[in-house]
Amino acid sequence: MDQYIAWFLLLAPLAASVTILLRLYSPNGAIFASVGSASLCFLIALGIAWGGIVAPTPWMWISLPGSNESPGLEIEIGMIFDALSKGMLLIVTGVGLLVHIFSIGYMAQDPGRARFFGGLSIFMFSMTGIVVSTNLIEMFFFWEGVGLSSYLLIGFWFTKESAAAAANKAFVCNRLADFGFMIGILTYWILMGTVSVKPIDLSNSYHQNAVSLPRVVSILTPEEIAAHTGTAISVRHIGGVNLTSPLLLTIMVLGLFGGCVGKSAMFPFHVWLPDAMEGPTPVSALIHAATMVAAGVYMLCRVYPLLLLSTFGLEFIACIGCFTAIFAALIAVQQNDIKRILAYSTLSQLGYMVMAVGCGGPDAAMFHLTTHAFFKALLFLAAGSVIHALHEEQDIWKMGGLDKKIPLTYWTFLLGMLALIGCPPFSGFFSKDYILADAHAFHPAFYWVGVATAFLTAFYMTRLVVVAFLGSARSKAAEHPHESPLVMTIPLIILAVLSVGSGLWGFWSSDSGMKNFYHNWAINLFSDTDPIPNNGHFITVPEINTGIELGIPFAAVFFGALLSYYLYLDRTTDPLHIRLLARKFYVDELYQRRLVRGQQLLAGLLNWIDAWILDGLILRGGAYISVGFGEVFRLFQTGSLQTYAFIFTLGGVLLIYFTLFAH
Amino acid sequence: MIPASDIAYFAPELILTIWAMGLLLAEAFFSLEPRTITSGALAGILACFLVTALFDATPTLFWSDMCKWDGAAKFFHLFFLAVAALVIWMGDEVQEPVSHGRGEFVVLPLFTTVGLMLLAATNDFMLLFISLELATISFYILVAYQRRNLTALEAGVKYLILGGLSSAFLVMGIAYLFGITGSTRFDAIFNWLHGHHALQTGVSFGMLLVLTGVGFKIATVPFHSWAPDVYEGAPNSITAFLSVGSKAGGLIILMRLVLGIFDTESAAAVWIPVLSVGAIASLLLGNLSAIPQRNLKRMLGYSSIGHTGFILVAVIGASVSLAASPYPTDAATGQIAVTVYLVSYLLATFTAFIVLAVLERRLPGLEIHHLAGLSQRSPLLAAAFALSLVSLAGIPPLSGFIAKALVVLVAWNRGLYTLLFFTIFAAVAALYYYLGPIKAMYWSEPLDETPIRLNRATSGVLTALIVLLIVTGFWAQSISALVNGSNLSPNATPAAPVALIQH
Repeated sequence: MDQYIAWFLLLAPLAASVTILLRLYSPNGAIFASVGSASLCFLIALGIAWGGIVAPTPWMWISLPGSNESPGLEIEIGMIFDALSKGMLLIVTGVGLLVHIFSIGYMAQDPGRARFFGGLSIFMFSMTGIVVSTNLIEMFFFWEGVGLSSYLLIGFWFTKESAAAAANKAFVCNRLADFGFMIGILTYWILMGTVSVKPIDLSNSYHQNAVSLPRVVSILTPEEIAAHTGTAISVRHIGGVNLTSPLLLTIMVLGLFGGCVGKSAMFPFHVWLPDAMEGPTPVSALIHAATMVAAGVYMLCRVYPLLLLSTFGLEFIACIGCFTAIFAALIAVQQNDIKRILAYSTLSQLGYMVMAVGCGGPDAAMFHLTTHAFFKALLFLAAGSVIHALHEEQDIWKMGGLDKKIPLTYWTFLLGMLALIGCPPFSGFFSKDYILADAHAFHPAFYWVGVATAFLTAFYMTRLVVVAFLGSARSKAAEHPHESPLVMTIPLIILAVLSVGSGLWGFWSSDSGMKNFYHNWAINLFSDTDPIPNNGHFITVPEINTGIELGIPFAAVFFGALLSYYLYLDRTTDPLHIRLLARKFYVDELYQRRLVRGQQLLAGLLNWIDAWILDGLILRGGAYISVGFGEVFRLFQTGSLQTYAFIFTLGGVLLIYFTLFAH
Repeated sequence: MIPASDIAYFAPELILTIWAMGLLLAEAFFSLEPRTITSGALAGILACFLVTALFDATPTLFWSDMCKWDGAAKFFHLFFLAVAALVIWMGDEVQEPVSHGRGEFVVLPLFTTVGLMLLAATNDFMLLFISLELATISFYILVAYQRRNLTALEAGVKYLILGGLSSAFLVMGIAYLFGITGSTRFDAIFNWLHGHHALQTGVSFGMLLVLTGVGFKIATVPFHSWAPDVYEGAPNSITAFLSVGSKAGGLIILMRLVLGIFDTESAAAVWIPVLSVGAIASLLLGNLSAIPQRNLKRMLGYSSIGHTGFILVAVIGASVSLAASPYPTDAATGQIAVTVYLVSYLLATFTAFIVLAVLERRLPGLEIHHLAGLSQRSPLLAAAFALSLVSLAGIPPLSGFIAKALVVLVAWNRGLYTLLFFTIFAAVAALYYYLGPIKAMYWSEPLDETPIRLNRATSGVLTALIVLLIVTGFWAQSISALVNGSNLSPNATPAAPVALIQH
């Protein structure tokens, strides 16, 4: 019996979403079903974390035997409960439940709230699916599921043109990147003959292929590799293609990273995330800050042993992460929409996490992912509370003086902000410094960019708090705000507690702590097989020397916050005008001009091909041919029995003639 | 004298025959309600199903070696019983417009089923012919059951005369084979063929005549011309019966013949090209002719010709004497593919025809544009119809996908690249007409907004079929496990496929 309980993790939200979207309930019934399924998920996740609920026996969906010529294919639908997924499950279901509860208040007046909760349930189904997937095909299925729910929820107010456009943008960006993910999955399958991401299979794959590969990608023959490393490796060929080439391994790593680039909105696919803020704020909190966008990072950590097979791939990942971190932080400095500032800060923090993976610290990435999920969900929900209080006002220059009027929101927001900028002893401090320590061990350049990002983060978050909450009211709405109802503030308080405490707990308490939890998981990835070949780093174990390395980020945060406080206190307009940053480095314009134009040209061309060649020649032509075929055929399909009998006999006679006598 | 153990293997046929006669008599003497007779018939089928499921699938010859019990016999027995249950339930529940003789309308399919079950276990041409006629003659009556309706009458006459013609070919073929080999027993003919390396022209001639007769049953091109007309004229439940039951009956004969008797190198050199041409012609003609059809039953009729083509590819792939096969041991997979395809085809076809039957009660002669906005009038009907079409089109993760994927896999593994090309081409072309009705149901404004209420049994059966369509898609092992008669547990390690038909 025990082994079936875990299935409800997926079945409960699935059932809720299907029944809601079939309109079987009244709006309030839908809320009940959705929140109920989210609570059930959270309870099951707790049971899993404590070990009471075990992984169910997987269902073998497709099982094709392989041979020397071709790899077999086994796709199962199962669940994997290891340290990584247990932790992630708690975050997804826990934050998910809180956001569900918050939404009861936030969406209370919306006529489409049943649809909203239906979307949330699809999301819970897909996201828990990603977390527990045992193989990449299963994960890809759920991966598209979260893409779908994200699309539905960004475009929730679909009558608003900008929301509909944002939903399309998110979907298209994700589809493009998922193409890379698909290539990565297929390459992995071709190379290793499996699509499994169970730790044991991954570490087998790693050991099969781990040779000290040269740092520069090149196509070496197996003999050359053997000469280089002194180990003979088994070589598999398909149709003359050497399957053990470093180039293919790099393509695999970059392909898998492609999935992460889309979901986690890394540069240059970051453009969809700020626009996604058109969705309702609880959605921004759950999907576009705490969980879904972290799915890319989670996936990278899940397949981490594979990433190690390409040094170039890892370095590329680190570079993209690092660049996104500082790039987004710079843009955030000049934004005025409260949700957009938070969105760019999410991008920047995701950059940190991806950089950590690239620097050899999946444990650090997961630690930061966890703390970030708490404080970013808190910040978004608190921002939602502000927006709710001010009747949909999102411009921070039209706020001001809110600290006295909505104190609970203000204080929880402040705690979230302190955690985000990495002020000790709040949670962000520990996780961010862990990443910076990893980065320092990898290459000091990453460390210094990380420090600069920390400075900027402190700067723009202090600006946000000072402008939005302090000073005096700068608009009608800001003069008479009303504190949100209890159902909205209680999730804020719980998240605030977690934002404050999770880092400290994670860092200090020895074995059960979050950092150690993930750290042990990362080390254990390899422990069940032979000793690791000494080919450089596989998990960075940073030496945290308390001296200058920890001091510098702290100083950066302190001065960033201080500078911003004095610059922005009691201002009514922004004293800084940096067009380049305000216009987000013109990336959207660039895309509009180069890509979208080019794409429109391409689309025009394709449309022409579609209209004239595909539709005209092949389809219409095909249709004409088939109609013509049908007409000819209709000559025979006369309905006349004699004709039928004649055709039948003729068929038989021709068959015999051609087979027996026409030679 | 028939040994006692032989009677045991006849239990399914005996139970069903006696039960059907009993029902007829009871109806005559006590003038029972049609509903009571239906329940009785369903109970008989259930009993028969349970008894059949108890047999193991060890190959055994029985009844003076006229019959053969093996994996294929067991699978097809169960398959035909399931089909019969659905047909009989549909005939009563969905209230076909059959005004008279409802009792017989319910009982007749039982006799057809007995004929089909005998076919599945036959090891002798004499028995083959008799059981085939038993099935076919009851079909003639069922097709023309609405005899005051001209279309139905026309369909019945066409089916009768063309059926007679095909039987003539079949008998002639049997006569030739008997004349040359001196036996009507399958295993004897097989041994004879093995003993004579060069294939005599007379044997090929007989074989081709027999294949012509079978080609009629499975509606393969060029022996298909009856199918659209008869499908259109027959009551919906009978159309479904024809397109699933009769086709499966033809297929089991075909498999017994080409995989059981004629699977020698010299004979295969004749029938493999013939069946390949038939498969390609059916794939093309079935799927292309379905595109311009507006009448839904005709469209499904053409699509069923196309499905014959897909199944034929798997049948060819199951031959052990295929030349140039890179995987000589993979022949059994072809047989598994046929069975998986049939199960998925059964589920999808019955779902579609139940929906059509419900709709045609209001509006006979249903065309695609009549489906406009069905999703608003009855979400369940629309969902069921859409899923059945999607499954027929072979889109994952529904069961039709697994079926088509297996066929493609078989064609690939056995080196049938020409057939592979046409299979994929036909599968893509088929999307065109399968998606049309879905578009109408979900994205067109309804012409008539009255909601359609379904009674509880219909909703229940439709829901169950939908669930099965999805479950068998995710859990294809269940079908092949059923076929292999082995462990049904999803965790069982997949055993190497066992050929259903062995020498």
